[in-house]
Amino acid sequence: MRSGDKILVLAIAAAAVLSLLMRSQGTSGGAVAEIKVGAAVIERIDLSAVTEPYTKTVYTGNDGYNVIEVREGMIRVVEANCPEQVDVRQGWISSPYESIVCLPHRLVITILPAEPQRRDIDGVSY
Amino acid sequence: MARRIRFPRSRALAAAAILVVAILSVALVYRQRPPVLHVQSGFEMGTFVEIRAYGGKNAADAISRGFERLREIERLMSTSIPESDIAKLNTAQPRTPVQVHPDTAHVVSSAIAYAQKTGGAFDPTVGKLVELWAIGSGNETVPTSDEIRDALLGVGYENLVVDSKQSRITRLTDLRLDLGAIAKGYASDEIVELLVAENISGGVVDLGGNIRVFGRNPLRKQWRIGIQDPFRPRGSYIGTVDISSGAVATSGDYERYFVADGVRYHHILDPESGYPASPQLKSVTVVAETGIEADALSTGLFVLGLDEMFDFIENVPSVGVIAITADRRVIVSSGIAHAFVKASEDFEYEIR
Repeated sequence: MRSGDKILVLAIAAAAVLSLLMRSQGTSGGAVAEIKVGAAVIERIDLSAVTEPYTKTVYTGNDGYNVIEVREGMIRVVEANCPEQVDVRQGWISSPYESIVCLPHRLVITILPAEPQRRDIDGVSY
Repeated sequence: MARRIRFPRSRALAAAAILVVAILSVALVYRQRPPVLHVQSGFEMGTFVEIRAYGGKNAADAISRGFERLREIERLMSTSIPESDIAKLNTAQPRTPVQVHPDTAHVVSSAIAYAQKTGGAFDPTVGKLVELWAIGSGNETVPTSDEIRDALLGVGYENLVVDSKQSRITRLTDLRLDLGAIAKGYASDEIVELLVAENISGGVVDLGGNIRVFGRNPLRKQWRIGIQDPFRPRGSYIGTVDISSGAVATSGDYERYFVADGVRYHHILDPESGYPASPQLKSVTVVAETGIEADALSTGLFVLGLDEMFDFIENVPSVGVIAITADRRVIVSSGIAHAFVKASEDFEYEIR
């Protein structure tokens, strides 16, 4: 090998290592839905890996429950025994940072973004 | 056998040099990524709270202290915690001064100031009315006119005396104090003060849609806040407003309400009539420098109604308003029109 070739090989190796490092710093993969009750994370669902739609019931204490439906790329509360039904009426969410909050049951479903810094708006006043 | 491709030595060197430079510049760009974001959320003050802070070495710690401050304020100012200053005050003998925490005295005297400014449209002394309607409790009924008259007896901010120096509050009548339309705004200011003292470079405090922003936003020039579409699910917005710092608070008839005999009753009560205020309005959003002002005025201006609210803010240039009517008009005050961008075709927009 000539010395120029050696430099080339070294540079390519450096590039490979660096790009690997950068990959691990950023995040990869599709949207993940995080389900929390109070401060506790109950479940994280990789929405891109859902092949068959399914429902699951989350029991939130004090006889409260929320039935959650999951499809590829989206999630919603399909049924709940909370008084105002704000969560059920909201329907599907699928975009990063979108969330469903069931205040009486302290349930929060949030779509975690693949790229954490990208955010169209910084909040919604309601 | 494949032939080995030969580059002249100088070309290989040049290619290697270019590659190294490219790698270094990419690495440099990555080094200048926005500051790290810390987020914590939870349920406090009967609502969903999220605090986001950018930068700062101890952001996670500072946010935790923000939550602690929030709980502290709730312990002082909640009507439903029996040991709170407000509960003590509401059960004390009228005309007897009650010793309270200086923070409570501060918020109550601010509340009285906003009540004066809005001519009583915002009034923290309507506690009995709030208890009577009990909107959001799940078993609401429409009160009789006699019940409403009774609940309005003794109501009026002028029946409340605050001695700020001694931190003492006196009720002159048997009114009930309720800081539900101002305490969250105050709390958001307190949290921001705490985060700034901890050298957080910028952030968002979201107390159930009462939003307070400060510092530098690494994502864009300013902070962009959506205004909830009153006719659509939570999170859909009719437009956005860009601010560099300050607060955005909304009072809407869609947040807490009940329906009886086909009539919708919402939770923003008119201290004069005792009934839900301004049926022509869906929501009022106030943009102000502080959370306490945005919170109190969003309620006060909703009660004042469309015309009076715009008369009011003509004299308060630091305050911006976005009002949404039941007939799908969005009216933006001229002072913040430059910062507002519409995001829905379902409304008619006007600047006033």
